[in-house]
Amino acid sequence: MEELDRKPKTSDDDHVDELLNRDYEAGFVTDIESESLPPGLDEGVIREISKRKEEPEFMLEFRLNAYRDWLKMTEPEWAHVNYEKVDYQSISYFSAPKLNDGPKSLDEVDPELLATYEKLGISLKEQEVLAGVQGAPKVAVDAVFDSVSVATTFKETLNEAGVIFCPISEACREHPELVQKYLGTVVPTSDNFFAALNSAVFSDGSFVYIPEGVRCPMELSTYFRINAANTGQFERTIIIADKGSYVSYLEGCTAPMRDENQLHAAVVELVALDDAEIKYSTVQNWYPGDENGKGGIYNFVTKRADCRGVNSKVSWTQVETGSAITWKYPSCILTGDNSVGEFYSVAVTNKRQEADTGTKMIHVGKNTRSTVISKGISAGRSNNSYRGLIKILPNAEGARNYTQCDSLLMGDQCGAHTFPYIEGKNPTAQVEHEATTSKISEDQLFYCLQRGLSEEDAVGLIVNGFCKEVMKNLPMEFAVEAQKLLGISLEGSVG
Amino acid sequence: MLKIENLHASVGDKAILKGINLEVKPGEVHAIMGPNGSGKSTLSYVLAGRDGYEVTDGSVTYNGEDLIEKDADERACDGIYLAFQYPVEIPGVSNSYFLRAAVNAQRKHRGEDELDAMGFLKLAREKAKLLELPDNLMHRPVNVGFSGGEKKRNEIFHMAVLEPQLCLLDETDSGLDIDALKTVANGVNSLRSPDRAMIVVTHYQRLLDYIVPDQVHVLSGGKIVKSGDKDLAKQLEAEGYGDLVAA
Amino acid sequence: MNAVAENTLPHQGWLEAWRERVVHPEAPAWLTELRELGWSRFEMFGFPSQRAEHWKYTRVSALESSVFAPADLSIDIAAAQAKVQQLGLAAEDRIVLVNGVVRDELSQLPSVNGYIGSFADLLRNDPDRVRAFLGAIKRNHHIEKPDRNNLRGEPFAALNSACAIDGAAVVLDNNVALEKPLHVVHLYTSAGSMPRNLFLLGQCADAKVVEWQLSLGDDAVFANAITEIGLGENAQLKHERVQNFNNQSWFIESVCTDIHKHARYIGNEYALGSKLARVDTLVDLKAPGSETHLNGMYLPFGTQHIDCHTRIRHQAADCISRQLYKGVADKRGRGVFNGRVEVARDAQRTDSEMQNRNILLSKFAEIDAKPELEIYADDVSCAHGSTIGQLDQTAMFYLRSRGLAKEQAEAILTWAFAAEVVETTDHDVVRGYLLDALAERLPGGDKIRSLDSDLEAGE
Repeated sequence: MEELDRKPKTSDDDHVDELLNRDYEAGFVTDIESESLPPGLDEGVIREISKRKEEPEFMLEFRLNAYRDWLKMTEPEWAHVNYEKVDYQSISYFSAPKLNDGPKSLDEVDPELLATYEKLGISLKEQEVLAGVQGAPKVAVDAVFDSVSVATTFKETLNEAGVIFCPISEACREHPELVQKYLGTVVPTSDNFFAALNSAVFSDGSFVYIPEGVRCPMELSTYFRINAANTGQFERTIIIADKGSYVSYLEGCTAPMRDENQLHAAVVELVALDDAEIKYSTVQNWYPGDENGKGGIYNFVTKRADCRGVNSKVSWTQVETGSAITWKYPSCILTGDNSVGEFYSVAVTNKRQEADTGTKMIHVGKNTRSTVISKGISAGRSNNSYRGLIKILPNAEGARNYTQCDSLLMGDQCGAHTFPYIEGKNPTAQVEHEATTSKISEDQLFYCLQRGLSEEDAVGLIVNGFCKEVMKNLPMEFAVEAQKLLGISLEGSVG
Repeated sequence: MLKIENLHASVGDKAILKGINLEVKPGEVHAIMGPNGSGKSTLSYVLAGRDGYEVTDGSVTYNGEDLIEKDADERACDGIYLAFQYPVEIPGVSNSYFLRAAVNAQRKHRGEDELDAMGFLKLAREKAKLLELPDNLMHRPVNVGFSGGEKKRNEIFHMAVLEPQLCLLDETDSGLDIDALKTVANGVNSLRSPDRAMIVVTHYQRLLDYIVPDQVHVLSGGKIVKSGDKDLAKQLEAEGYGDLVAA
Repeated sequence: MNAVAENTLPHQGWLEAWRERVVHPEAPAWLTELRELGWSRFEMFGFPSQRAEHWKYTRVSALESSVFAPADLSIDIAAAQAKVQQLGLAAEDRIVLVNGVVRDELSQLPSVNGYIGSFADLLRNDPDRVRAFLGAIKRNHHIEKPDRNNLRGEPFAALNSACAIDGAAVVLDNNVALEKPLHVVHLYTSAGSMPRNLFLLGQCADAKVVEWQLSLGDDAVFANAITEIGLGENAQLKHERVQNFNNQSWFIESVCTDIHKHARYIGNEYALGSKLARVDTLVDLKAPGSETHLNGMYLPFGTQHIDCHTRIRHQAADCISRQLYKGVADKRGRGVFNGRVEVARDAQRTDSEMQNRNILLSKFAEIDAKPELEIYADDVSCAHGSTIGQLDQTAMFYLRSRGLAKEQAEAILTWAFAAEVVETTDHDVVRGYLLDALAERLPGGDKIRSLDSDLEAGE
């Protein structure tokens, strides 16, 4: 793109800046009274967390076992990211907005808190959601502020359908048999360093159970917000789709701008039984840090689905624009025969962000199928890596995988990397992997300009097209938010 | 409308155009012919303002204004349209969305209100009918998976919707079978009007049977070596470029 | 995907035996230094464990307990002679090495401006010429600044640097073109060998080199080879390598090539044999306009394990790289392909493509593929593709529609799949050898091969 560089006002970098370098809009801090444990981690802290949450005995056992595993583990170093290691003793492992016995209704929730979610465009007031645009889909929201769930909406409607959607701490008390049956069965405590840490200290998250044959009557959604300083966020999400059920779950994340790095180490476990389907969508916009790489969230997340049942299906869709460091591989273990795993991802890195993200598809059962579409966009001085594993085990007769990962580079100071691992052990399986890396072609740009589009709009349009295969998998209301995040006007309102 | 005087242009270090003179008035259709490598496509790109095509001498005025200093999108908004020899694919962006973005960019430039989705669709359907364009072409990603003929028809479709003043048709006939050629030519002819000019760049005389030019110019070695009326094209077809190029 | 490599050292006995072998009182100081560096690095690395990223799919721990002392150099010349005959190389220009040492009585050396022959002799007679280049292996293999988590052939390269005593050397002066292809025939009878080859081509030099790595007999062999290649401006080297050890043997090799301005390296690798083979083909495109094409075929059958690693580093603008690697695994064979393309920040307008295709013929066979891209320049066009287990379905249908039974059609397409890489060779001797190997291994291959030859004969 030398020709462009000659013209000072229209260098490529400017567009990248304009499009992707927008200020972090969710960067405000909410002034709210919170209760935190002092920094540091030992068995005493874990007992204290468990006690405060009034957990049953098995939970304490689970946490302590995980903690003991964690002590024996080392932080992984194979990812293509560089960051200053976390001092795990300087973090507070529990921070909760000060609430008196938990809110009975929204009226009891601190207005500051409600305002925070309003500011993020998330309404926790059911009547407001209902009063919204005619025909707009209803979304039930669980709002997690720092480590604690502050409000869950539409509980009654969901109850009628038999759907359980509540903070996991409540599930531990109200549905201990379900929690005990599924917790740690997809991501064992000793799975990896961050998962072990999460298992030891997780404070909240969402719990979803869809009973047999039920199609969840609305989208379920959790909004995560890190607010307090010097805290880590360790939420744990469990979604169980019983036989023949369906659920679509959305997850959104933001955090204030702070100079120091904050740790987010979540674990998500999904279980899909026979003929069940789970659609899990994420728009992740944690604070990415500033131009110089100061501050930002360390997003070290373990997300895994077990397609246990025959004909089950799990679909991960993620739009990742935030976080200073991302280490995240939403995966599917395709155990059930004919089960299906999908992974659709857009990862944008800019400034000094570093992302190492991708998926694992483990084909265990017969005729299992997986699709992986990954779109990476690197700008600024960032590094963006796709890392994916496709594993075909000997009994996965007729398994199929198709993987496509494309990278788009904007500017000459960034990096785009692709590290696929493909392991085939069955002669009837077919695995197909394709990857490309390129920049926006000069031909495309000129074609758009010749039709009268400004260079900025042209770049936006091309980037949007580049991501479309992924975006179209997001639920409508989320897609809007995701496209806004990409800093590009909504495409598709025509035609 | 368009006045080209002593135009020299180069790509990288290589001089391609070496002193072109050409005047085009509203309503006229000029054909530019010449062998491969004579600079035909370069002329189109220079007029449309492609980066990397540098004007080293001479001038181009368009509606009394200096054209050279303007960016490609400004020229497009001023009514210059280039139908590409090789239309570019833009994956993931639907043809209609793209075209609406272009129409609105140009309307905005002219100080007009932007078209809403309904208004645009009405306009687009009207023009599509004119070109016998299949409906699904509007909803598919720009040029992606289009056949050669579809791509060229799509170029004329864009032209019809954008209603430019000066149309540059770069080898619009290449790769077309006779039926597709007729459809494209009909589309072009329907867009001929007293205040619109066209420059048709082509290697073959065949296209000029259907789009009949007012003037024909032969480009060779970066210069116009001969000009004449439509019969010149016939003569070239019969005799080849041989003598002209040698001269 | 795991961290910190914990490596182990081999049986002390064989290190001692090698140390004794390579004592060279008259060696120049810099060479002794290089050897010592090799020793100390190897002692530090040990054999790589599978926790090192580049050894994830290949386990060499069995080497620790084996004793591969230096091979005996007094060998049966007649047997070696017969092997050369059998390969059909009796009339060809060739350097023949047995157990890593050049045997003049078996070789036929062309005379050129430059040097063709024993690496040990070159080192003795013209050490300065060698010195400048020999150190390149240190850079290529992080011997100087080891990165323990990211080991490739480093431990073995270090061991070779410490132990190598001879190898094939081809040095061509500027503008020298070899008229005939040069065959470098490595034969191994038993025990351990560590040959070190050096190919240096001056400006505008041009050569075709075919390297053979073969067992002579049924004994187990451990061969740990290094080939260093330097191509001057506008030089061209077409380098073909055929590996066919017996099923008891271990073969570890690093081929490191530096390519300068407008020069071109074509590397074809045909990996047929061994119990375990691990080859790293490392190419650095060091100056604008340089180009490399790597083609490979690996056929792990029986219980063989064949691991092909490539790494192409685009270090300058306007360079081109192409790769096509194909694997067919049968029985309990395991094939590994790890291809990596790295594009440095300044390497604008890089044009790179890597294709990897694999077929599994048995329920117990395995293929592991890792096609990687690491890119720091923005104006690039890089693509890679990797597949496991697909015969071309359109072709399949085409054949079936002509009346062929499914098995027959599969056999033909499997043959065609592998033959595509065989056709990258320039030499009839190599082509014939490879097709014979395919005929022996692929289902129905013998019939297809004989039909093929009949038709050729009929022409």
